[in-house]
Amino acid sequence: MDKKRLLRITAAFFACMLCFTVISRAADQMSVAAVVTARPENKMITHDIAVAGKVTQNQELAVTTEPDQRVKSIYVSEGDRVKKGDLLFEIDLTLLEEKILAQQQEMEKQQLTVGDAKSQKEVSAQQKASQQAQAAEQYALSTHSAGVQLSRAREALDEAKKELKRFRKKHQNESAGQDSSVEASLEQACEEKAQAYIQAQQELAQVQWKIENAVHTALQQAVNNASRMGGYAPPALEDTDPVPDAPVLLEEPDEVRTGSSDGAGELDAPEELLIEDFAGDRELSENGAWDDVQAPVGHSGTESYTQEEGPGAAPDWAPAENEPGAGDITIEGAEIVGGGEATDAETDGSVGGNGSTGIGGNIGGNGSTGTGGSIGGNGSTGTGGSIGGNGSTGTGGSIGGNGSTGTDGSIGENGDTDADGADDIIIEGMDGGGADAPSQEELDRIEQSVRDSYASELLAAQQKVETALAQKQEAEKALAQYQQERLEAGNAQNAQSEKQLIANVKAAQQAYEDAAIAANEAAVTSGRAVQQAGIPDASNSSDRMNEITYEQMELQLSKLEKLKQEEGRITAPCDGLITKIQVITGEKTTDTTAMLLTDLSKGYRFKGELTKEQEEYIAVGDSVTLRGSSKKQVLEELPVESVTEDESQEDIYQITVQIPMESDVFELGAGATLEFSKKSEAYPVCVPLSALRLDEKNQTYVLVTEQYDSVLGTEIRARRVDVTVLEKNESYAALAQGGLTSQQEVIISSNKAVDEGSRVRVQE
Amino acid sequence: MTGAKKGRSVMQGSGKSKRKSSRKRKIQRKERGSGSAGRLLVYTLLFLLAAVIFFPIVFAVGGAFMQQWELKEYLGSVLGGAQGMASWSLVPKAPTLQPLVEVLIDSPQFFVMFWNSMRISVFILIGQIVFGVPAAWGLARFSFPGKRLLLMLYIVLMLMPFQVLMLPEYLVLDDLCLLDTHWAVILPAVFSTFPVFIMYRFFCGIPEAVLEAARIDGAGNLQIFLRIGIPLGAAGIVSASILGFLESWNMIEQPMTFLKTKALWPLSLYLPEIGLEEAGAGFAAALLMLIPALLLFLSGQEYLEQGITAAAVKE
Repeated sequence: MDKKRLLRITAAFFACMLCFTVISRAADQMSVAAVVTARPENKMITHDIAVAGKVTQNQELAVTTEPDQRVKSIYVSEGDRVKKGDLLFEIDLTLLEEKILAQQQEMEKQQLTVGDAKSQKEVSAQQKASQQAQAAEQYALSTHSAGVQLSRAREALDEAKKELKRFRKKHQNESAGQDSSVEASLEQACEEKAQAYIQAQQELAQVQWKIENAVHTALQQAVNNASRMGGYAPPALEDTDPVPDAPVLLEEPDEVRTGSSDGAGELDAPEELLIEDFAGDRELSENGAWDDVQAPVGHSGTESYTQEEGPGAAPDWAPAENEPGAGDITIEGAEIVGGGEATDAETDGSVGGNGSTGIGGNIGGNGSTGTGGSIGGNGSTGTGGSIGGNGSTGTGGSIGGNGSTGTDGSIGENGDTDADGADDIIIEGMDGGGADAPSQEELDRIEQSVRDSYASELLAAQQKVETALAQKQEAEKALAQYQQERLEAGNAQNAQSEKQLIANVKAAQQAYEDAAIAANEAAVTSGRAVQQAGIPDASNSSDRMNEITYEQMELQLSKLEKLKQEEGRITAPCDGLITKIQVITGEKTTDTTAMLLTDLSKGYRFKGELTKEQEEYIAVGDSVTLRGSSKKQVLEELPVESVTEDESQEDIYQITVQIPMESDVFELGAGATLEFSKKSEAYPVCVPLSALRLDEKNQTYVLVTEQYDSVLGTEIRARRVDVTVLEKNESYAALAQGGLTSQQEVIISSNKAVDEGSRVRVQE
Repeated sequence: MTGAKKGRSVMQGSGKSKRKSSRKRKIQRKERGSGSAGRLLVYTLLFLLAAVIFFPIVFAVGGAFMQQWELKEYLGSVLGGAQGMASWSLVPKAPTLQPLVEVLIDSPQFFVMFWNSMRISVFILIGQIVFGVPAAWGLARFSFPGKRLLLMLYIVLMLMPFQVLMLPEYLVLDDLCLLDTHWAVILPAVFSTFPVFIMYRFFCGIPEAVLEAARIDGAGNLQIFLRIGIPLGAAGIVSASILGFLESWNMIEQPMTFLKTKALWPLSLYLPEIGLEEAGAGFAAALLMLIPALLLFLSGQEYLEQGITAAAVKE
């Protein structure tokens, strides 16, 4: 090969290489990003906050007037400054006067309504009272008359028996041979059966009474429970005894007294009754063993009146109350009242209500402990022919009123203690409260369940009555037959007259039985009537409601009149600025605000909105500067009054700053800027905010320059350093120490995108 | 790969020279007029051998014009961890100049290394000539006590591989504070024994009668060396220079050991930095590396052949 050519080629090759060296270097430099770096600084992060806002009033007052008035004229317009007492607007007086007149008329009407309602209520109260009085009267009368009838029937029976005995004595001689013992025993059996029948009837009535009482109690309890649960506390019906109301009982003694004034004879009658029933018991009473009140005691009474014991026995018996034994009875009776009907079944011959411990023919109401012919009301403890009202304790023919304790023929009024006190026997009266009644179905259900529970008892009582009746009839039949036979055997005339006498006795006997049953029924039915009359009426508060309406109208009228007195002029309540007028001349006023007035005496405040970031640095009490639009409008060192979260916007906070009263820098409604600067503590590592970068995982990092050895010599590239931002403001961020040192150069800007590992050129 | 390539390029250089010399021999045989049948067989055999030796060059040149995807397809299994066997095509499917442009324009590093290599090689060459030629002349033409021992030492040192000398060299260079400078690579190579030994053989071949005549004409020792020794030993000097250049151009262990600063690295360390992604650039760079060595060889070819012939005839 030619040497020259070879040399040229070699030269060309080296020239090429040289050329490309330059080109590639130039190209390489173009791709390198020029960056500006800075070293981390030790500095404080200051937060400068500027908030635009407005100067507003501290307090706004609403001027209102009566609604539905015509506005005659308005003297101010929005933005006017007014002084206290300045006329704001006027109301048309003619319309106002009409209104007043109409209001007065309305009030008159209302007053009449109130009167009507009141009288209506009084009338119904009176009606109720008289109803109760009537029921009580009826009770007293019917039980009294039943007692009288019973005693008369007894008298008649005795008379008839005496007649028969006399007749028989007369003819004893004639028919001495005849065996009268058979007849006597037959008669006795007959008598016994009759007594048993009466007793059964009484028991039946008692059972019925008991059921009614139980039903009543259960219902009352249900009502009580319901009302207690409903938070309403009516007078509690602690005592389940359905005692008639106090007013009734107040009047009762009068009735009884009138009855008793007819003559002592009537009073005596029960006494007789009692004596006859208990004639066989004298020994018992004398022994003072009254505690042992037992069924057989009553039974022995049958025998007693066949032995013809006279009424004279009464004084014999009556003193019993003076004996210590009588006291025992009283106490026991009281206990029995509390204990319910426990001793009911054991006593004999008594027509008793609840808890009565009657011995022999007493007609008792609730809880009465009667002994011998006492007609007792609620809780009375009568001994020997006493007619007692509520809670009376009568002994020996006393007629007691409420809570009276009578001894020996005394007529007690309410609360009287005529003899030895036994006040505790007084049964507490009670009012049927107007409780919220449980539903009717529930009540029905309760009633039914109570009735069911007593069903068997009732049935037994009914059967007993039936069997007693059948036995009685049988005995009577046997006696009749025997007498028939005997009479047929004896002489005809005597037989005829004896037959007549026997028939008389029989008739009297039946009449007596009927009277006993009737007396029982009378006591039960009229007792029930009293009870029903005692149930209070539904509450009626319409009168009070009417009164309230009236009072309201009165208030309204007074307002209107006051407006009239002021000649319909509405004045400013304080110095201020009219911010809003909501009334229009000629239109009617509404019940809302007529005008809004800014109270200038209460000063102004600055109001502005903060963002969430700004809110973090500013707190109540921080000193801020307020700046207005002109340079002169500056107020410094004002404390922040409040910072509150806006309810309607998320992440927006309301800030208020009170403007001092004496300052007149800002006008109401003027715009102003709040300035605040907060310095943090000094942070050793602070970098400009532009140095912070965020990767796709939201990790904050900065890029620092790093020298490295390359083929092209020592070069600079970017290296990533993860950092944690402690605090930052608009320009600087404070970083946690550790990742970055103050010796490192942090890239804060570059002329093209720089990433980790990018080669960079540091610009000075 | 790079090591293999280097080896190939070295072999390629020597292969070429062999081819040339075989051509020369063919001509000589032609002149002698040997049998034609045997000659054909020999030709075929030699051609096959030459083709095998030439293949890496074709390989490198073809790869320099291939696109990245094509290279990946062929070499993926070897370099990229893909499945299958590596394959090769001599002609690119879609020839492109992109790798070449990438190396020439987008890689300033390549040029830094190219000029580094150039500097190292040139300095070594100059050093070897300055110090090696007089040394060889002295050993060949003067007789002094211990000359044989010295020669023996030269041969032994020449046979020593670099791995043996690496540590002592490192310690010495460290003491001389030459580490991580180009001199750490240049100075040991300057005092290499191989060129001295080559030139020694050439200077020994200069007839004593020529030197006698010069002395008679009144030439001193220096004049004889400059005016007779160097011109007559030029073939040996050029041969030693070409071999020295090739050696220093391909030097890889010394810079790797003694140079820490990347900016000082020669081009032989460029290819180890190249991976599959820049395989095209690697081939292009290899092609460019070939050019200086080829040019040097072409320019010194005449002296190289002369020198070898002279040595063969004279000895």
